Amino acid sequence: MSPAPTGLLKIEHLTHIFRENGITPCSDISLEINRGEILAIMGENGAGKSTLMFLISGFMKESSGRIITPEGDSREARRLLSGMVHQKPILAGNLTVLENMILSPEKGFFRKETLKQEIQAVQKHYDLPLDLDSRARSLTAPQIQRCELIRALWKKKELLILDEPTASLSPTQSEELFELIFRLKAEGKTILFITHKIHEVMKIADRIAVLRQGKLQGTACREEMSPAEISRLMIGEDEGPEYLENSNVSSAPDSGEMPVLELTDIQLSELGSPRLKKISFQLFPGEILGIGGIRENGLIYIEDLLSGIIQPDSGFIFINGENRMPLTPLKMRRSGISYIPADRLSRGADPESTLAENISVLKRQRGRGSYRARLIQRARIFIKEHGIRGDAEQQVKTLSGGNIQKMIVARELENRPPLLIVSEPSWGLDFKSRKRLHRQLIQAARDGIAVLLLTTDLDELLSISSRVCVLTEGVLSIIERNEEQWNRNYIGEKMTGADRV
Amino acid sequence: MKKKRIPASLPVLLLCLGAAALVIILFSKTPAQTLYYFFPGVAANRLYLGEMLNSLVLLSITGLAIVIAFNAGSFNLGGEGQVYTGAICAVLAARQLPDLPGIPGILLLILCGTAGGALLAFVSGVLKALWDVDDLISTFLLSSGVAKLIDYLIAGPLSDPASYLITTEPLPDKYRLPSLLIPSPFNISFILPLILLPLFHYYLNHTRQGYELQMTGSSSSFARHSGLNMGIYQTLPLTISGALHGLAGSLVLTGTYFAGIQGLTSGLGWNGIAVALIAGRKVPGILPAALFFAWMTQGSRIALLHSDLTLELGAVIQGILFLLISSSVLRLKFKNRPAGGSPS
Repeated sequence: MSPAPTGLLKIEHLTHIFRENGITPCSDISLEINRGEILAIMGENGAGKSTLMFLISGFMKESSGRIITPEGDSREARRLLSGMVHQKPILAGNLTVLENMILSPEKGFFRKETLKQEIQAVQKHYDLPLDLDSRARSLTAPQIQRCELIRALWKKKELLILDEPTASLSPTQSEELFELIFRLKAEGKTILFITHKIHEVMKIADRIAVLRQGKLQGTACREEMSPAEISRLMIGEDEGPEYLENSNVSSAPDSGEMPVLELTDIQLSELGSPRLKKISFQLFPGEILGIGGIRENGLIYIEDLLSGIIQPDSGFIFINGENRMPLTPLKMRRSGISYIPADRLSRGADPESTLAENISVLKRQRGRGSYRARLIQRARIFIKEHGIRGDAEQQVKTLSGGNIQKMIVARELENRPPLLIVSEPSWGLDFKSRKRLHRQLIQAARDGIAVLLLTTDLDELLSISSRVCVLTEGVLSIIERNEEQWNRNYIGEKMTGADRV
Repeated sequence: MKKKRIPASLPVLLLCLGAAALVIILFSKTPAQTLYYFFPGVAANRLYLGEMLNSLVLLSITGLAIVIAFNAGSFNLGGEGQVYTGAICAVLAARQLPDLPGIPGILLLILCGTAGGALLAFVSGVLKALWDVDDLISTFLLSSGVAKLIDYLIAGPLSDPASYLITTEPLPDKYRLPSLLIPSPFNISFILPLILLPLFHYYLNHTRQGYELQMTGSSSSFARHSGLNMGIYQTLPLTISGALHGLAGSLVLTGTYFAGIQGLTSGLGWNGIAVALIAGRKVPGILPAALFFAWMTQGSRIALLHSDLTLELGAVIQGILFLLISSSVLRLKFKNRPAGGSPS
């Protein structure tokens, strides 16, 4: 062994059991974290990554086992040691960014101005611009993340925990984050980096720890582990590289065919700033048209436009050759269009209602007797057919994210819609669910459904689309299917506008 | 798997009873007597019992009205004005058509009252469906405004010069619902909750429209994006709610006061909300909840008459009651209004 790394944190036989449902997200985990290293914690959704981090940061109390810091093994010591940047950050929306940052027990009195100057110094030091006086609710996801990061740095936390930090970042933003992480490491900070993206880990991690179903599968230095090995540890079997599906869906539609969906010269502005500029595209049966881009910068507007909750300033939307403006959610559904929204728990499902109620919302049940009884009866069959894990009368919020998406996808595809609008379908899905979903989408296209895929995930975009467009600053550009253009780097640059610098 | 759950409002109710008993024991010189009149005394004679039963009938109708709106995610704070509108519409109908025979006349009066209440709430529903006007605000403001207008009608153009009260002319005898427990106002209208409650329970839980209505209430964003007809589910439940309030108003007129006395609603609309909340926003809970509420108010009224319980103390007890119930009102209100589905 080369110069013995000094330990920062020692985890001994850590187990956590949720008392309400008996689920064990962490079971008998023993792990040492060295000072000044970047340790990647990998695992699929539900592998126990987040729970482990909550335990380390003292946010939750373990059921058994110990976490030993240099200052002892109390939760308080852990809290002081670590700063966590959450995957779904929690900020008080009506307070300013500054107020959110200083919102924690400060000893005695303090002057807001002094604190602000301190924080600004931190920002300057690390080059992390963010308006401290804006309201937290107006922040975008990357900004919220930055806010939590600045706070942790200001508090001089030795251990930084980043929970899937790149989930909402563009490739360039991710690169910037990685640079920052390297810099922090050089300054002696210890970083726990949670992710399920293997290529990120290979790039930045010193050591890798893999979790599966609450158990630590193994830890190793990066050099000692191959991507295939990590993937095998994560999912239990080798599923091969991600690019596998590369679709053979027929492209190049006949010129005489009627497009299922056609947008012409759509312009949209919000609060005076243009969001979509002269967007036009056609979508034909049997193809998957993928539109990539950064969500806040335009994809969200295309999604809202087509789901009928916002109207363009000018331009037309034709469905099956008919002008359907102004489009409303009701009109869209009456035209038989299916929609798998990015915001699944608000638009795609109602977590408070039962599985049966969620499944049956699109299709009116015929027959006699109690409507509820009919819903439940049908849902039982549906659940069995589609392999959803849950009971018809179970509340949706008790299901896992992957299971909920499975239910939504099955429901939306059930009626063989002419057009399927899909937005960020694999967000939060693990490897297997993601692959199944991609197969389902490709199969849907083969069955003659026109699929519009809106995604920020470039791998997804390239692996299943028949045609690809990229939305940059409100302008849509077509990606040709050739060596030069049909790859991550080209699209990544296109997406962030780096190609035009 | 299914566990028998204690209704969420039960502890609150027990707390209410405990608090009332405590206040009486602390401040009454004859606590045993006061307690007797407060609790079992209600059933002691025909008048007290009949009055209690009559308000039970009315409260279960207004409670049902609130529950229906709740289930669709609407909050009808305009019950008071809708009840008042129902009453005044019935008064107007009686003035316009004095020559109908009794039973069709009464039915027509009730119908007019129901329609009046429905119309008022319908306006709020349309505002909500078309321009996303908050129903909580619009029902409240509309009803407050209309109530002032009705006050004016009763005091002015419709007032009965022969009476020393601020009231309209009394209804002719044939338009009055006869009492079943003389001398109390308890009348045949007790059948209505017995029909309406099961009817709406079935509607909400066993019909397609009821299912869609409840989905709208549970998550309006999900309902909307799933293509449910939001126009219907933002207006219809409020309209039904208004109609039931109007119905209660016409019953107060034809069964209790027999004249459009100013302020005859006496909190029927507000108390309907309390009943709905005690009932846990579910139809089966309405009858017990209304019974509890009617019993408590009647009990304090009787204890006031028969014991040394002072007006102030009676008010204190009612105040505690309202405070405890409305503390759960706030909790439910916020639960009922999840953040809108607008993209941030």
